[in-house]
Amino acid sequence: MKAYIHSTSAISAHQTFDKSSYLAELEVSDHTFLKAYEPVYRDIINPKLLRRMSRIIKMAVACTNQILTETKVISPEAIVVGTGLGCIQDTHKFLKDIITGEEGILSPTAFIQSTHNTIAGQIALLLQCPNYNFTYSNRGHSFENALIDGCMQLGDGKNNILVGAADEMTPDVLSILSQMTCVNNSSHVGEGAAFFMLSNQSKQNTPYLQDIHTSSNIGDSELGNNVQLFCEKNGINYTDIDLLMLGDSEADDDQHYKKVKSVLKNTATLSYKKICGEYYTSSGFAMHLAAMLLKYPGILNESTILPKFKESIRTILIYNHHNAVNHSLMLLSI
Amino acid sequence: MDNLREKLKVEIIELLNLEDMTPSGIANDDILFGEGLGLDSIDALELIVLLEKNYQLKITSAEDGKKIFQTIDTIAQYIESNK
Amino acid sequence: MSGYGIISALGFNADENLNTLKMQKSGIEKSMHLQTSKSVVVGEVKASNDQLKSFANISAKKTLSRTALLGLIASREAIASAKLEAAEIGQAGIINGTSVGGMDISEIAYSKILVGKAVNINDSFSGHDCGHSTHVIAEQLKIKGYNSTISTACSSSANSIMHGAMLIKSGQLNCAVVGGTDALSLFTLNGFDSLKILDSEWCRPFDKNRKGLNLGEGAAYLVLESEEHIKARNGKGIAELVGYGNANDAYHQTASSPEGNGAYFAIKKALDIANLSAHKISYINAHGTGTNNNDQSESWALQNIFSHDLPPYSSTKAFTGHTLGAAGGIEAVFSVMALQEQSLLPNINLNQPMGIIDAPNTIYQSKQISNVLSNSFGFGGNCSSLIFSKA
Repeated sequence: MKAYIHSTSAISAHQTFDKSSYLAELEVSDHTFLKAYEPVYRDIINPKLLRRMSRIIKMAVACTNQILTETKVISPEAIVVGTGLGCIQDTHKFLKDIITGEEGILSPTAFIQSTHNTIAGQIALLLQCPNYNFTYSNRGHSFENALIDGCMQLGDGKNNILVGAADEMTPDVLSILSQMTCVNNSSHVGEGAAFFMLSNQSKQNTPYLQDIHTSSNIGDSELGNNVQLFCEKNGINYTDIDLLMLGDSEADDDQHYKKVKSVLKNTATLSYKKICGEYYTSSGFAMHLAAMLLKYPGILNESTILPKFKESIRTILIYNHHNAVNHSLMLLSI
Repeated sequence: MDNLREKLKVEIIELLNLEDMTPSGIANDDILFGEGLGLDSIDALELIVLLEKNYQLKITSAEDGKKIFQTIDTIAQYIESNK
Repeated sequence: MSGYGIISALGFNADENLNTLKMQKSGIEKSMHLQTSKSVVVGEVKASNDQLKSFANISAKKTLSRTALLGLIASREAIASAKLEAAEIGQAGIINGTSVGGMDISEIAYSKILVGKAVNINDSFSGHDCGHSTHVIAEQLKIKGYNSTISTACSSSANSIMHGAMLIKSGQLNCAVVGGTDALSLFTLNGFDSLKILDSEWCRPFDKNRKGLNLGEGAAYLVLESEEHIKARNGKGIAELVGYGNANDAYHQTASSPEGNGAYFAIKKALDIANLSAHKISYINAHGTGTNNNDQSESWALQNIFSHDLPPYSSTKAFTGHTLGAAGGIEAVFSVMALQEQSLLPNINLNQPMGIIDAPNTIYQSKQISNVLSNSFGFGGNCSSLIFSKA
């Protein structure tokens, strides 16, 4: 069943929140990771409410507000969020307080804000939305789990499903991450939020998610088969795919990405992590970028970051893996 | 006494992240909870922590807390009378 | 539902848990394994990490979070009790719920880092996130179908059960291992203490003089299958998940609305899906944490749904403690046990009822039970209800 993307909004390491100057300039960061380029939150969110929001919540709420303004939806029939590390800044703060205070008296705010479902919970609180509300935290499939559930809710008869993903990074957490063997290059670590309003109602010039497939711990040969089966299942030939978005960094010697490129050898490619960086829910950004490219042809004409694409992009295939463990394929069209 | 009240305002603004407030914007007899500044039960817990950490005063029950945290004046009076 | 597994303060497997429930013996006492300076009682699993590794067939040298170990033990029992063959396990999905993740290891490691001690960073933090225990269970038990991890605080594993059911109903899975796990940690102990909702003594759910909750730990999983799948393999259904509902209270970050709106909507949705009217519920396993707020809020929600037809109800948290992300799964297993044994579970440590609704059931006793409602309400206003019926 097609999931129409009535609106999408994202905060990333480059200017993506303000659609009037979408990815126009390369943001130069003096941070050790690809820190999010954030809007002035006071202009978007009631300042009285901002005080209880950590950065990751602000990102998610800002995106949600933009989407609700664009779609004029008052209360989504479901809110489903994915996050790999959750509210890691507050988690770290509270943990540090416990240790340095030797379990003495503690400020509760960081604890309350540290639970993973605070993101979806805060959105519900702001919107006074009593409906279905789930949070997934499953490593490189956190966004995919949320998206699959969102689509299932559509299939179950609900409409206007708010689906999103968010992850944040801090210098302290990065210093730990960069010492772990699964991190190839800490300067590519990113953060951000990407949200969508999914609907079962088609509208003119509206991109849609046609299908999504996830798998775990597969080799490149099985991946090749998966790509073939995925396309066959959706009735498309490789030549129907106008753009292949990949979660690689271009210098990668990665067998999985090589395999997909070899299967779709004549398709233009885009390595989206050069914009958003690597984090558990970066595939959320990929889907956002794909939806933007489909809906607004030529949106990247002013961009200095990405190459120009042919005018009509109508079908995009996204492939990403996280640590060669979590693999996902997403097919979007318009 | 005035210094204490001003100090409390600065501490509370910082502790509760009241970014859009300034000390001069909080009157000593402004109601802090509910309708006034709009503080809630979590803020009450934070104020209990503040009193213990910065003024070495322990408040054990939420009921006591309610009375003490009504206004800047009542907090200052509590601190002064328990020095 | 064709099988289940459970580990908690009441025992290492289903039989032990059931026997302890029957004996009305609480598993809450001072902690033996959690290294805390706080004077509290907890529902701790009565085994060290080394002992848990031994039960879970994990090498003593391997670093693995307590959350993952508990999850592994309970999910293994669930699969064995359902008598699934290797090929069936391979095709099954796993939907796991957790709030703590591997924090029990991260917090110890981080305390060493803060004083300049060297730690093995990979061992210490690679299991920190919620998805880690799901990954471990899938890998160790060779569950190769769709995997997912839900983290919605105290309703995590109830939501996992719900999500597994929806995946089966929509045809995306035929069989799923669903539930959750959470271990005790200094993080959560100090967290709930900072909110002043911990009772330093044995908790008293639904008691007028209740002072707060006791934390607990554990894991529990169910095996859910479609009717076709269980018939095709000549499996045996123990109970049926007939209804489920999730709603958001949207009242406050941590507190529930006084009227229990989120709870009300979650229960109502579950009844609607089950196509049951309220008076068909035979027994309610309540969330009943023992906090001032939850027990009041939940009582009002029950009053508004059931009014004069309130069935017997009880909270089992004075047995196990509040096992956070595992609570929904553990109490789902208890609900199914109530169905199998045709018995009401008791709400122990009750001295004086609250007086909002009729007092809970306080004795383990026989009763004809057809449909059981199980409630789990968490931070972020996340309210979930499940309804189990006889197979």
